[in-house]
Amino acid sequence: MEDKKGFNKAETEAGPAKKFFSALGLVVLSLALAVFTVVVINV
Amino acid sequence: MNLGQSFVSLWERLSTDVGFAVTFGISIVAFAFLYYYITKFLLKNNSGQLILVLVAAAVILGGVLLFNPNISNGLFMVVPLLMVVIVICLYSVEIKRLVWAKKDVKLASVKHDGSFYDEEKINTCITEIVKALQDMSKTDTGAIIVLSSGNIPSQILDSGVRLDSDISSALIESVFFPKTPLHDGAMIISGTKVVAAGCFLPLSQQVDKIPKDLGTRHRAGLGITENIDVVSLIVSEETGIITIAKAGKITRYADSQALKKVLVDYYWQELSSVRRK
Repeated sequence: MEDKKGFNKAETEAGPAKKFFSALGLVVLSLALAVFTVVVINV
Repeated sequence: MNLGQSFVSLWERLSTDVGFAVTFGISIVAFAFLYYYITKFLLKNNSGQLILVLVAAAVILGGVLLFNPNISNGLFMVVPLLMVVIVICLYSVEIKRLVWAKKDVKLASVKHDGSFYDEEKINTCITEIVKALQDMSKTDTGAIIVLSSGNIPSQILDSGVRLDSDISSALIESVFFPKTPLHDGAMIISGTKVVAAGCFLPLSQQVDKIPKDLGTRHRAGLGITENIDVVSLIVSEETGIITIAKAGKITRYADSQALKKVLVDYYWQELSSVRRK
């Protein structure tokens, strides 16, 4: 029995540094928005 | 009172009123968590542009409220509320999937009989599944098989027909034979049993990651692996190409070695989990 042979289209994973900075960016953005929200409401 | 004076008075209150400062801090943490999960969810669903729109809207509204003393600043509360409403309205399917992925949801119970430990039986299952997939590949018969560990939500199993049968290539090929009632859905395998067939699976939303020549069957096969730890084996009806979907990623052109490797990994994990119980 012959198989249909080909190649694997493996996705390239994002590096750990990129993951860290994207997570850090998300945290900073959330904190900035949270501070902005609370300040606007209370000023 | 102008804007500068308002900020000074807020700062003075924060430094003198401990209760207010604590409430202020807790509010910031709560809003930060809310925004974090909303933005993370939107990023995961390829909606980065929507985040920019929402942030821009929040900044504009905040600016308007800060510079216009005639409007109550409490109106800014509509921003987080609007974000939650938008996410619920636009991504109800994805939210449903997240709920399914939680472990405390009622999962289909699949009993493992003693024969599960039988190495010979496992080898037979692997051979039969590979044979069925290759036979269907040669005849361009569309098929989708999901290898689960008893972690398929009951809603999915109930959408098909429960079989609870031993695995055989004849059974698999019969189920997927065109024009039969169950051929269009997915077959769910758990351990050495075919649990159900003709099941409907949630479709993947990663439209840009799936090649254009792949249809709904592949989207369904990929969709189920995005949030539930299962493996999908898909045979294309058009080309006969066998595709493996795992953890939201697809590997096309699977040959018998690749299929055997996936199945051995699956049965090894299954065996380990059953022994741990």
